[in-house]
Amino acid sequence: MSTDRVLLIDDEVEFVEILAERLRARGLEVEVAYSGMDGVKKSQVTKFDAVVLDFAMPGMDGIATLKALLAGTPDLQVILLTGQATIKTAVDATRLGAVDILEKPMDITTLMEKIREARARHVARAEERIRKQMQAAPKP
Amino acid sequence: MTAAALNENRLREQDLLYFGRVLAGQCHELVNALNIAHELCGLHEDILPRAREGHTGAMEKLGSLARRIQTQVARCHAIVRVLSRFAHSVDEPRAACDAREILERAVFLAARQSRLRQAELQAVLPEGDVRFVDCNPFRLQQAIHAGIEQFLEGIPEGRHIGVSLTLDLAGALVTLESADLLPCKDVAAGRLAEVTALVQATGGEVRETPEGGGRLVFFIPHGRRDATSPASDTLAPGAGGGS
Repeated sequence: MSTDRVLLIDDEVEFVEILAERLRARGLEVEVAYSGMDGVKKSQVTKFDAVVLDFAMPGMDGIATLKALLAGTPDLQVILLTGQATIKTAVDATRLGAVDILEKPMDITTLMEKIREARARHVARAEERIRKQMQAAPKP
Repeated sequence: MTAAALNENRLREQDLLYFGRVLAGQCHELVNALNIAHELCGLHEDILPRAREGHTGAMEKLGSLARRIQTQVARCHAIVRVLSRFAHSVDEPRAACDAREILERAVFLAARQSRLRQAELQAVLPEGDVRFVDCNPFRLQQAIHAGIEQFLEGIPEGRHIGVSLTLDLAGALVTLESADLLPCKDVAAGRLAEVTALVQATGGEVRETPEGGGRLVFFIPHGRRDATSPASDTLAPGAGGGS
């Protein structure tokens, strides 16, 4: 089984660097982006099992970034991080396709679990897609 | 109810909204610093077992982490110190205020908004003795902050705004300028009306509006009575910033 590949998108440079270091120490392959725009570009070049995305960012904010990420890769598993989670934030983000919402500061074990769940969903969806393609293919 | 009383009521409503907005913004800043401190502590815990085993690199890393945690604690202290003085600035409707300190505080409080707009906000403060202006300290900082917001809304992302203060025997001259300010829009006109009302409420006057040259200049005289406060014969310097 390959290593989980995760993209962290957050404008708080120090926060994201430390989080990346902690996740790498737990065996994940981590890339970081310091803006929504940069994150979207990276997601177009590399396939990620999960994206951990900050909600409040200058320029392209979390919601705009979420939309752009999913427009490019509809299956992408995006976990939204927020400083102040409200019901409205959660509802809006879930409607737009975020798979989870975590409030900062989050426990690293919880984040790891969410990333693993996201990867499992990602793999399951890919397998389902292949199965459907095989079923749809004409039989010899 | 007289027009003056209606105006004062409107200003008070605005005061409350401003107070809430500043508090919410600074809470975000505090949370950001605490989140970094939280992750640094987590990393500290991650490294501790290796340090206990005697790894030199891990020991050095623990020292560096402690310093980084201290930096975030200092950042929190700075925010709380400014917030405390900001909160105390409502204590007296009129006081002898250090205009330099008020401008510095307004710029500090607007830093988050300018960062979100990716703008560079630069304050130029005069050197030398402290000079006091006689005004409503809360509304003076609100006027400066509203002026900064007007510029932030009127410039493209990533541009520069300068805020400067000139002090002389007549009073304090506050100047906001940006070479990148776009032509006046409706929202900017609304902001300008807000700034003008606040400056007038501190007993000052707007001398230049930004439509023409990208500059907003207003003047707060020494010793003039606050437009909305009862007259007083004596005034203790330093009352404008809280304790």
